[in-house]
Amino acid sequence: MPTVSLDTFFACSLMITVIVAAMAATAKISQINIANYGNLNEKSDYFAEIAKKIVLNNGRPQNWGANPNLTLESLGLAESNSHPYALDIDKVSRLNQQNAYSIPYSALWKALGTNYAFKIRIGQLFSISVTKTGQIQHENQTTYWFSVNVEKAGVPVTAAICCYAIGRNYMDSTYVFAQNGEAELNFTIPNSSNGTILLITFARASYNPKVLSYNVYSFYHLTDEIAANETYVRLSPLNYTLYVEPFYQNVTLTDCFLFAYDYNNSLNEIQENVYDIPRLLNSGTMVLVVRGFKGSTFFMEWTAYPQIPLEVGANLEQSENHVFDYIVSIEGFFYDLQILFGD
Amino acid sequence: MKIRENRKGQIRIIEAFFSALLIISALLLTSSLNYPNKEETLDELTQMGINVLLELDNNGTLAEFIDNQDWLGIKRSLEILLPNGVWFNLTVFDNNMTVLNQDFSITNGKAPSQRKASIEYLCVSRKTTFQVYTVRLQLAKVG
Repeated sequence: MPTVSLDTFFACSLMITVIVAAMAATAKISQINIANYGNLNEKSDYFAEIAKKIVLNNGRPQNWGANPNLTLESLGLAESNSHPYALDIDKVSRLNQQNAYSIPYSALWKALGTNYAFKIRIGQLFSISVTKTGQIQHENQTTYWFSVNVEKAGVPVTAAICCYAIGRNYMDSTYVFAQNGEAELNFTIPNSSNGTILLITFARASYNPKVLSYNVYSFYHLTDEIAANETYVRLSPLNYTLYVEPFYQNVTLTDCFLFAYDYNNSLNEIQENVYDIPRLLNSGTMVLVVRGFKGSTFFMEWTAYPQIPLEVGANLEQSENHVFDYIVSIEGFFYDLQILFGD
Repeated sequence: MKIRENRKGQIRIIEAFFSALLIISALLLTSSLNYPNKEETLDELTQMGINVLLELDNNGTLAEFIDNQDWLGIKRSLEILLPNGVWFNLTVFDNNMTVLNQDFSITNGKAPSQRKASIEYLCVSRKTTFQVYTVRLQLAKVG
């Protein structure tokens, strides 16, 4: 047999082997892909239904949010007798693990009745960042300058801004307009009010008053004392009542305030360390501030009602996630809700 | 002569090798491709559109914007409520299906080439004149 025939024979055999192997491999890969897409669609539909259940149902019992004595049987965040995508202020607040009446993830998972891990995030539609840009200290008072930036994922948001500054024996407010998301403001604070100062900023989108965000910025006025929020007390708003739980025995509260866009007032103490929160029309997120002393040390701590932003659930960083985004309203104001399922 | 014949065989083996290489690379390429599920994306966008329109309308804001012909207000509201990376185009019709926002296009840019989700929503004015508007919202993912 001539050598060329042998060579041709081997070349043809090799080609046929490769083509057959390629066909077999293609069939195998396609089959896996087709099966995966089928499963993926089925799973996506399943997760979409569960996400809808969380957003559109009241849960069981219906008023599990406001009443901490009830056991959660079925997870649903919707407000009773309201429109779709309206969430209950207390159900949402009980998802925040900083609230004394919060529901742990294990109980939420059981109440959801799924075998998959999940996570719930609720946040504001846009963010506010505050930066201290300068200060001048005079004999009796100090003036601070701040820049405020309002943006949504890097895009500036034009907003009306209402800003409060509160400290020891001191409170002031100012209004500015953040054209293209930028504004400058200043506060002059007496030197006798040394200690923590909270700058509470509310920004209301200029074209839709129901889109509102807040930010609390703290800084130290003529002092080096540094204490993080919730060092001395735990603040748990629920059912329009603020429960204050001191972490130390020698903590005494002096007063408690409510701040909202265009409104602020002191709260009435209805029992020891329990304050009544008024139901305000068109207020959006409220910021609640308590002032007090631990021994002789002055402190000031805060929380928001509803307690947003919040994140509760499993760590899904290592898994493939199915993400569902919603625009929801709480007491008529818009927030961003994200539900994630791990696969 | 023998050397020339041997060369012919070698060429065929090289051809076979290249064809094998071509088939394997095509195979690898197809297996690594991620097929986007367009139906799923459209469903997601439709759901998002209904969600946003319901939220805008629940307290009468949408009808108020239309009554006042405040098209910029609708545009700014959609810009804030919809996530970045979603293209929108909203058209408002009266009860005779005449476009009301002819002079102002409520959109955040040029329409992307991808398929769009389209949602039609009936919006009722809270004024005593009882106007009914049809709102058509088109959404698409950009990029």
